[in-house]
Amino acid sequence: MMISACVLIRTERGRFDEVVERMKQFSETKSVMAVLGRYDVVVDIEVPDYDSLGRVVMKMGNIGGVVFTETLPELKMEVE
Amino acid sequence: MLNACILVKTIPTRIVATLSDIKRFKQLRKVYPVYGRWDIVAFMEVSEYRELKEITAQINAMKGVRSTETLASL
Repeated sequence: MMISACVLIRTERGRFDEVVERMKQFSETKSVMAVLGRYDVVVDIEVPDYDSLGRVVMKMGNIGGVVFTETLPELKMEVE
Repeated sequence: MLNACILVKTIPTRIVATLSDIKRFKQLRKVYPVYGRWDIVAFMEVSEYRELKEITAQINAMKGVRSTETLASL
């Protein structure tokens, strides 16, 4: 049962292309896009459990050019 | 094609209902309820910005939706 999460990222000015490429290299990444608005990059990831979610988001936060991340983890609901 | 991530805030009692309302959009790629400052995250794929504007207007008009934030892809 995979858990999705939406990772909102702010990058250093002009580095969002580089960050987008690096995010694509994560096996957990399902989709990544540079965006307009209050964030620069949005990444949809899928992980096996909440523990690994923390590890992946930490690694993403350490990518060069990333200055801020906000993660919205999926709220697993019984009713589907 | 244009992708977008729409963040939705609802009143707590309307999360499930809003989720099923959003699932009716044909442009929907993926949607899930979330923890954190937002309640629902929806990924859409549209052909042009105008279509995105219509979708966000419809979501904002849904019963119990407090606010939305649309992050449109470049």
